Amino acid sequence: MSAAPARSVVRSTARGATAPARDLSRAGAARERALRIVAPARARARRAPFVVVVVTVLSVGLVGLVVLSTVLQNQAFELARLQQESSSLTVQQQQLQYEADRQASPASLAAAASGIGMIPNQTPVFLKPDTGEIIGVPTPAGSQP
Amino acid sequence: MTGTTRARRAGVVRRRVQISLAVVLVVFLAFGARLLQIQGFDTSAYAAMASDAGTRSTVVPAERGQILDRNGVPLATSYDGITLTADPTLTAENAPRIAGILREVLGTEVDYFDLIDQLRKPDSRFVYVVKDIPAWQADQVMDGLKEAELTGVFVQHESLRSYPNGSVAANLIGRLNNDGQGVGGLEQRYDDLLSGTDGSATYSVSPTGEKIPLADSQVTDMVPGSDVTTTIDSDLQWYADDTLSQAVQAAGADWGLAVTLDVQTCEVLQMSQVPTFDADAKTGLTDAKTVSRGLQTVYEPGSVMKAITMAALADQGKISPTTPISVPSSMSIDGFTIGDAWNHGQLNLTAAGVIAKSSNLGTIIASQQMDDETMYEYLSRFGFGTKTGVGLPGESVGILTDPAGWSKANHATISFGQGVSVTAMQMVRAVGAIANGGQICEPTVVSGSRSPEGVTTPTPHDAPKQIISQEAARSVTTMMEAVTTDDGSAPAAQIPGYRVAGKTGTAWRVDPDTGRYVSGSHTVSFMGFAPADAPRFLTYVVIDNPTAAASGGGTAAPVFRDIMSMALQRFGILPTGAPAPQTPLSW
Repeated sequence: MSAAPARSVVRSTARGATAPARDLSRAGAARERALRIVAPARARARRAPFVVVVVTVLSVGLVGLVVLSTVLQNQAFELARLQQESSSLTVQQQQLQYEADRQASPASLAAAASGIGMIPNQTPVFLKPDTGEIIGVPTPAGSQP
Repeated sequence: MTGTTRARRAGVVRRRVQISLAVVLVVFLAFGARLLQIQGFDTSAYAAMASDAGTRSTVVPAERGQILDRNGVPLATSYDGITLTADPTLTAENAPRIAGILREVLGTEVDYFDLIDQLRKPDSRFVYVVKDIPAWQADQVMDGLKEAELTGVFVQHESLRSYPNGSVAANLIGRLNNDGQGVGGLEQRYDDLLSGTDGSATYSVSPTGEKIPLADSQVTDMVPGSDVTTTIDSDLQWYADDTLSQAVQAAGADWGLAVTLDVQTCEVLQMSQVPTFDADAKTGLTDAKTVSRGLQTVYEPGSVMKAITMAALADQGKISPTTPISVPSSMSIDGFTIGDAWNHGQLNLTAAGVIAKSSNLGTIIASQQMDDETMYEYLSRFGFGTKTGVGLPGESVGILTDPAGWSKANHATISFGQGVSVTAMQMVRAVGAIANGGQICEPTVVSGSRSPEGVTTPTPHDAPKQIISQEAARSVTTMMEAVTTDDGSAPAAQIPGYRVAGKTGTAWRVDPDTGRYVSGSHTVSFMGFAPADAPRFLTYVVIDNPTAAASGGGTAAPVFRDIMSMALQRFGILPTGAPAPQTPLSW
């Protein structure tokens, strides 16, 4: 490819060489001035950089894929672990709620209250906050039957 | 010679080549045929097998909605449960160790030797090890097995029901059967609303069981059920359960019930019955304990019905608390001799006195002022013979016969509550109308529901209906207030500081097998509301077949007093301070 122009230059030079017989008169000097040696084109583009680029792109791509895949895998394991932890905590919360509900049931509360010596007062007294009026006669709760 | 040998060799080589070619051809044909089978004919089967091997599918059980009391306290709630299964081919060898771990975590819930039998079941690859255990116990079991490197036990997820208050309001709440469907009470009535929709998850897994990221997965989210909010006050309910239980036990009765109604809103605050069951512990699941006494048991109410008879007469303007009534010592109607519960001669009682003393004869004489049709019409207005609209399963309508078939004796006995059968909820609705100024309403046990998105839907109510005049209602209330005075039949129902209206009942019991009254066998009851001058709550107590010498005033009224006192206290109802009317009981 790079050889072709060189050849044509040579050819035109050759043509130019045969020309003086016909064009010695006027154009000859100008034409001679226009002709010059063209620097030969570079032989072939170097392959090395292209290969390097391709290999680099491929390598980076592959490494990227590996990294991405690894990250995703890790995230999958992390997700599984967190899901496991979440379900374990949910179960723990349910267990605590289950026990709390039972301890908060009226029967448990009544038993606990009796246990510390509390007794129900059957004759409550009402206080009206706006007037300060007391309705009922304050009487201590009776002793336990 | 040499030429012949060469020719023979060439023949051998050619034959060998041919044989080799044939063998290769056969092998290739076999491969081709197999390939055709796999790719051409059995494609879908193999694709499914490949897909099954790499995917895992699980059911995500829907969380059943909660049943809450009026303050949001859970009466029924759900939690994650597990059923443990096993592959005996994997567990047979280590059965004692696995059973040991199960026994250690689950205690007496499981039998060690039964477990070993299950884990060693011959010719089986699937057995149930233990059903319906809380997920936290299952986690402990699985952790224990993992630590001991024992395999072959698997988990199945499910949703379990918990009733934190045990037997409190059990008959109202109902329970779930083994298939997770509601049986009885609100669990049955609102099953569709509570149950939600199960979800599922299908995803690709690696051979080690890890979920593969970005692989195909199909997740259908479960839709949790809605919560149902009742009108029950769990503390009052427990207190009533406890009080009633003691009374029923002390009286040696077959059963007892107590219902409290907010007469202004028609909301049921508590609905107790004894004996009952415990859906949480799954004990007492017999018909006699799971039946809803307040709605399904039909009985003759006895003298509480006198209040209804008086209300009918008062509405017609035929009676007032001071109307004088001459009460004979006994009466003979259609050949039957009818008397009062106590022996007396001729009595001059007012209408209030008839109610206060609970005179059958006085009531008969008063009721003779209206004909059968009118009496039937009023009983129908008060809701007898129809369901109460409370909307719970299995409700009975009671027995109110057509007046065309009534004899004089029928008219007489129905006026004091014999010869008519009712449910407790019907009685509560009817007397509730007297307490509520003559307006009858449908009792309700559910105030509304809340969807998982938080949208609250209140339960629709029919507007109360005026069935008797306000004056008539007030008039009967005055008569009923006389019952709880010292001269009345139930002074035990008095609550210090409050005016209380009430009516006792002591009815003959009908043997359901023979349809006849059983001598000496009674149903005692007390119906009352307070404060009588501004009625807010009504409580009805029924105690059936007490063995001891029992009466409405002596046995049921104290239970009424305790429950009513607690209701007034809990809701902060102040005594009005108005003096009780001094209605004369005689003239």
